[in-house]
Amino acid sequence: MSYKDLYHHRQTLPFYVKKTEILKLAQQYSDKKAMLVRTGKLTSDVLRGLYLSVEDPRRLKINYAQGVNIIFFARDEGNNKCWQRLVIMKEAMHLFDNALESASTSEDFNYLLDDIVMGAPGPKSAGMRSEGIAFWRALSLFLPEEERSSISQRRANGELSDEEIAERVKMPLQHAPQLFGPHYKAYLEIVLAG
Amino acid sequence: MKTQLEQAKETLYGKGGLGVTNLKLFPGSNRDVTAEEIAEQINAVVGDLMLDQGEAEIIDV
Repeated sequence: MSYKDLYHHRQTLPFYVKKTEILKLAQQYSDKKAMLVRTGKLTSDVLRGLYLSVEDPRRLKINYAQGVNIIFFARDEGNNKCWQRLVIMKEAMHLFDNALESASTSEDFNYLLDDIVMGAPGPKSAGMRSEGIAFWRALSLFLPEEERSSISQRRANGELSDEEIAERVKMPLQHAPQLFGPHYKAYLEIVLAG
Repeated sequence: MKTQLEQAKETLYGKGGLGVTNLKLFPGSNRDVTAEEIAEQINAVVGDLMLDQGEAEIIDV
């Protein structure tokens, strides 16, 4: 099973789906069992969210012999409910990361930080590419394609503003236009193929 | 004294650390953020996690 299966399942669900439902489906289609979602000391200016996979959680006081996947999210003014929905859904998409895309060593972690903080020269690390893939995977789950296509038309006709769309779809306003951008379908093909 | 980044690497990947097999980030709104600031927040949440502090919701299927 894969993200593609999750995406197709999403097409059969109503316009709005709770993030917990998406998380359960992501677990189901990635075959990763245990997941924790936690708030913590993140601040939305520095980190809106963080995803960790821990194979041996003995040091965590968490009883998951098979390992655990943990999503942390900031819960401050800058990370309102719509942001939290996007952040949590995006981090959940890392359940689909393959071994190459996973930051499993301190070197991988350093490459990822360099890409994020400094815009390192040369090709992006596999870990950084997976950040982009996870973001677009999450975005593509916000609403079924039929509805997206219909809203896209109404937006083009000036019947719906981005503010109205963001409110309906429950997503951060700044990311609403990306659902209707000229590259949306090309990006969708990439994340479905991955 | 260790930097925040050194501390994070040790906790996440070092001997006796958590044995993290994947880590990903959703950067915040400040585009001028430093690796040290990011590492500091990772250390804070992972520290709480190891002490089992903070709010958690377990989603198990």
